[in-house]
Amino acid sequence: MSNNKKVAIIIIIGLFLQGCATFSKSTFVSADPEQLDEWQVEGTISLEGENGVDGAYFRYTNVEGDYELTLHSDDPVGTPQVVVTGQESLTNESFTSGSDQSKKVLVEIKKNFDLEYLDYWLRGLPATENAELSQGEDGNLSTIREQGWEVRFEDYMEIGKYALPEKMVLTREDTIVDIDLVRGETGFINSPCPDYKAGLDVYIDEQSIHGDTIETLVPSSGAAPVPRWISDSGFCGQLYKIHGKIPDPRVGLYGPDSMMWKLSSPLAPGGMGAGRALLLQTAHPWITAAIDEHSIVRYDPVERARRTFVNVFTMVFGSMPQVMASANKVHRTHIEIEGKIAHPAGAFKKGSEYKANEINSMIWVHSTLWETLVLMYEELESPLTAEEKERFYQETKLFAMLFGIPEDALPKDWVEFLAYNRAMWNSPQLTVTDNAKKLRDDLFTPPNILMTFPLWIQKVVTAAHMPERIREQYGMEYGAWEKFNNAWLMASARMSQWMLPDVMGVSALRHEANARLEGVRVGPYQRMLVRELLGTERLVN
Amino acid sequence: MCVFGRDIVCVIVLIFSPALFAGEFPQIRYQSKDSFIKGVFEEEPKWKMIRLTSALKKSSKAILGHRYKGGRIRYWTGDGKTAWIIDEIGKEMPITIGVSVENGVVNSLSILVYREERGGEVYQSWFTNQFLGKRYQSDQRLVDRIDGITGATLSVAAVSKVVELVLMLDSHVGAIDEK
Repeated sequence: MSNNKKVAIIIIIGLFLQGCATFSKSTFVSADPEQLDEWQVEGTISLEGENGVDGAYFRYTNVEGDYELTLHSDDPVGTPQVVVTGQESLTNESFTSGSDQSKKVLVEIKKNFDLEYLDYWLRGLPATENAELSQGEDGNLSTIREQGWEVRFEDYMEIGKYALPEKMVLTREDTIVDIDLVRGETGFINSPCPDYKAGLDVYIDEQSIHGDTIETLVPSSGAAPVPRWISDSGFCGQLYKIHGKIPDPRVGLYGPDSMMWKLSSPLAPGGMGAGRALLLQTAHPWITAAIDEHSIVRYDPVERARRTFVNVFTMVFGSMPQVMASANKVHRTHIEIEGKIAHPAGAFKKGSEYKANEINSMIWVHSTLWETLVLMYEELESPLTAEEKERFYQETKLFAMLFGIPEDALPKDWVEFLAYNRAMWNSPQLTVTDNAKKLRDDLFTPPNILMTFPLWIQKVVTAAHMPERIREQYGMEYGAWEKFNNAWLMASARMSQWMLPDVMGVSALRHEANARLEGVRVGPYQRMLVRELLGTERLVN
Repeated sequence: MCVFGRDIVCVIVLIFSPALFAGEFPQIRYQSKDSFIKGVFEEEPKWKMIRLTSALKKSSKAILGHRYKGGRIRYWTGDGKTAWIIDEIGKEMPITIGVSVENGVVNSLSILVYREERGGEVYQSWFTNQFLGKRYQSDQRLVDRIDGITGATLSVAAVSKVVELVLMLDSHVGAIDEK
């Protein structure tokens, strides 16, 4: 049987077993697009009139009233051949190359539209009070009649918290204009942190610059490290540093040539390592206290994991505006997470203060992700050279900066990073509390029969890969039977990852990111996965 | 060729992943915009738009505590009333709030869509009814004149600010109509 047939049969069986849940109706309701003050959409525009049909790829950007329309005829993400910029009635045009096609399209656009009208229609809004409106069942406008045009919205796409038109057909007398939009951005185009000012109080720690980073993070006395809080302006300052380093916002922080995308793309390493990373995090009493006292998903570890990975995936695979939106969201969420340790736990005294926006604890969370990913990648995919690990580690520093962690607070290279991880495993900073054990039980207790096998796999593989001291504190068994099960599970995962076609074995987010780089929509299968796995129509497309 | 591993993983991906993660970002729709507007007016209202002049932008910023992102606000008018549907961020996500005003006082208030994780109690009628009959007072913030909800401080503040904004805008469009 051919691969395609097998995939098709598996999909049919899967859909049958999932029943109608697969096609659950979206409850998404758009926020008001009138309030979009930084946005961008791109796609194709095709005009059919008395002069025949003309079409081009286009990108329309509006940042606080300053707009830019670019046209290019050869490639969805090609160099703009026509650029029109302006603010309200002031318009400038420039032609960067001699494409007649793009110029012809611009002539037709200008002949037919007032660009200010298009600015509203592209958001699914009427331009004036004189417009006649019809509304669809979903609450979005289905038709606008205005300025002699009938603008029909045939489909909408979810971008962040907004629904923007995906397919529009505009008709006036003998002219028909088709606009197909493939993607867009809804904020963070101009500034990485518009809600904060980038201050000069970016964290500077003399000890970490001139002293031993590991000693600062993991004092050899066994005491807790001195807390180093992250201020709003310090956080914003770090984002500005990254913002200036990235040449192409479409590519995002990393891109297809990065080690980060190489290691994060296959499903098996991240999937099999998720339990280890989460339990290493909850072995830190601050993390456990924060989850216990502040998280609404205290009793839903899978939901908590999903929310964590939505942000992690966006930061890894997203465009710069998407990355910055995620970084700001996480920072805002963390601001309110603070409290006092209720019971003495290892290095942390009863009553000592904790906050989510603190450098030492954030470095620990950050480290659990990347140290685990490398460990699992090498077991399931292929060994990495020292140079590759070093490259990967240097790339992770950008990720850390998204949380406001300054580069000079991090271990300087991969070797020091590994030494830091080992020091933490043996430090009383990691102490498994009763609450952490409850989180472990929540994580591995299947909520329904379908989850029994996947969570059993997680439990076995997590126990096998956990540092010994932490595994013992969690009370996880790791005898001959568990070693045997881990061996065959890892072998199966390795073989599966190797044999799976890329469409299934590579993260849907990587497929979305690839589609974004090509200026197209990701395919329906990946869309379904993103919808079902992450609860949104698109994350990084 | 043995394909056991591949098929097992395919089935796991397809069958178990939705069970793992099924669900969406929190979002509760209490009322549609249409239903809110129909509830306010006896006859089909007209819709209009108010452009935010620099003076209105300044007043809006003073009420909201931040710049209103947008150059205009749409509203509905008829039967001597105005109705407004405005989004305001609670903590992270916008709350869609419907407010109607008659003769300068709040006539009805509904939370249409709530998207935050916490603080959803603001949709309850015991809370929203507190705003009925309230007038705009530039010297006293509305949030100080109503009972809050423990654990929903930001959502309460968002609703109060929107009501205050609507009262200010209503007085502005009323003044224009009188001219």
